[in-house]
Amino acid sequence: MNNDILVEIKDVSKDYNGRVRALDNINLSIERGEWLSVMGPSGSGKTTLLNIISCLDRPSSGLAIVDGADINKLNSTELTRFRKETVGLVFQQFHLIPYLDALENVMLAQYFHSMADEEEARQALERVGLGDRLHHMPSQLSGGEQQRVCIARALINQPKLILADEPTGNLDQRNEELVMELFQAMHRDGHTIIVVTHDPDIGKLADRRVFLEHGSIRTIDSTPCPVTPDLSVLLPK
Amino acid sequence: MLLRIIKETFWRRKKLVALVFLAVLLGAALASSLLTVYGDITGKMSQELRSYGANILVRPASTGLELEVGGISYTPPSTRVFFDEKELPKIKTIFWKYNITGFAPFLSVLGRVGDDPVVLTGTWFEKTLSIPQLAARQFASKAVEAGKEEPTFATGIKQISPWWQLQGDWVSEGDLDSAIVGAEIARKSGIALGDRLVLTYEGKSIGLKTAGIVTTGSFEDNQVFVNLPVVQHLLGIPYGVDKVLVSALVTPESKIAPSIRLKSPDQMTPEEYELWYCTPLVESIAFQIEEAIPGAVASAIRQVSEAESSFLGKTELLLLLITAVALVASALGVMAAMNAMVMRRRREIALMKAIGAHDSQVATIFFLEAALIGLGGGVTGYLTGLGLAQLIGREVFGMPFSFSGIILPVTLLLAITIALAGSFAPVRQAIKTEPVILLRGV
Repeated sequence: MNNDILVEIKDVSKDYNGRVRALDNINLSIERGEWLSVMGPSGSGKTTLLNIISCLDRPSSGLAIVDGADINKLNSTELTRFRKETVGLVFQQFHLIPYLDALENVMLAQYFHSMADEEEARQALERVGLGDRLHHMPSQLSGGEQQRVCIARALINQPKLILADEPTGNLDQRNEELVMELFQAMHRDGHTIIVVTHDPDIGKLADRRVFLEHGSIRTIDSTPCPVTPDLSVLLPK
Repeated sequence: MLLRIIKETFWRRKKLVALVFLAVLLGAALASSLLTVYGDITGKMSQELRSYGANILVRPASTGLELEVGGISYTPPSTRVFFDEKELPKIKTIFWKYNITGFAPFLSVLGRVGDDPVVLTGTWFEKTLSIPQLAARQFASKAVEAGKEEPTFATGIKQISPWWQLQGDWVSEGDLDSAIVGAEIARKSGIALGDRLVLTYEGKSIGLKTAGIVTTGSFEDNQVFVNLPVVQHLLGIPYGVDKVLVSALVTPESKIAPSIRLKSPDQMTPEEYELWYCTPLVESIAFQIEEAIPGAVASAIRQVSEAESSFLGKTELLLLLITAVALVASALGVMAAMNAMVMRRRREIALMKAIGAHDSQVATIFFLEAALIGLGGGVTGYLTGLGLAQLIGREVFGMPFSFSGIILPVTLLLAITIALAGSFAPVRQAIKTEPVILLRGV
């Protein structure tokens, strides 16, 4: 396998209960430092593909190699260890622990990874512009702020791969812009990013766009992005 | 971080935490009270059972054949063997002296009232003894403080036979003119309270006033009881006694290993002997009485001691079974509440696993929560159980159960075990939660 390839998906299919085929013979390679958008209508298999790449699920058939590891060969414990060391997840619903403040939510990922470091968690929140919201509970934060806490949490353990499932799906346009700026900054820093989205404007920010339909790849669009994307496309017309 | 999560869980899931706490509390309270009862029931029940009669019979060692019917010796006085009444206070000097609740000597002759043969028995009705300040054999080297007043001990048939139904009065100590007449003799001879009867034995006759009429439903109904010196005088053997019934608080034989209790003392190793000697078994107490009174043969009254031993053993087993059932029921309660807790925290568990929590880390959170609730429930349950045990003691036995220091750690250990055991299945369920449910939006 080419050392520049971080994710290699070969002939991957995923069936649920032996009846529903969510992914059908997918082949895809993602290079280190690449930003890939996975697009397609609801039920096209975007989230299933994300689950497999993020080691939350295993393919029914085919090969899924992430950072050199065949995830089909990892047992449950190895998969958990691999996930926490390789993958950072950003969710549409944010999924913050409601009774922990912003700082503690970030520290929780550190705690499960190795050891909680308050200073490092504080810096991660400052990087996403929440230096003044450290001790706010999730209920006291706006949707955009919660998503930024989620991004800080995903980044805190320096994962090789950032996976985001509709990261702006629950945000207004102003917050969407702020969050996508963070993704661009992560991209500039060399992170490999995979974003599942419905939104063509978000999709355009990626290096490549994979369009799924009925569990198969319909097209891959590799039209290069502008060097500095015009985020004003996200603002209200 | 872990403590923060647990603290918030306790605060946010108050109702479920309270349910787990309550389940543990009930189990711990029952365990604590029943274990307190278990620890002391042998003593209490043994004390209660003493009202059913003496459990040790002491006789003089005899080489000849004794003829005895219905507890009465028919051996001619010239060949009968007696021991000295003055030796009897030594019974209260044995190692287990505080377990001796009473004893009474007996000396019987076959006399006549009119033409009817009657058994005349001399005994102590109510006797206050001075107990010699003799240390038990093994502590004999410790000299008794000189000039210290001798302790006294009230004993007699009134003490060891509380089931006697007496019409009239007991015969007081030193009254050599009164008797207690068995109900059957009184009926046959038409003797009423206060009547005088004349009893003859080998040409000697004595006049006795009927102070009381006793009904036991047993051979006592066919006897006349008088103070011991009356019969000693008739037989011409001052201080002679031909048997002593001893009432002692004993522990069931099952308390000691069969390998020890089936051996005779001279077959035991020094360690076995020490354990046997220092356990208040009916045999070891009888052995100590033999040591205290030279020439005496003490033996357990089997029908009493074995029935007691079996009854006490079964009572203890019953208590242990009830405790076990209470603990299992409590663990099931914990399981139900913890299951609900896991179900409500499914997304939280999925998130923890999605951001890298190992199964062991998730399990640690739940087990630690359960252990802390178990500890709290255990302490509260212990205190509740202690109160419950005292209530049982006062209501059932008329006295509180004694406090035992070992019950607290045992109760806490049981409470934490209940909480952890009850959490086992729910925690297994929790660690099976797939993090993928977060992305599927389940």
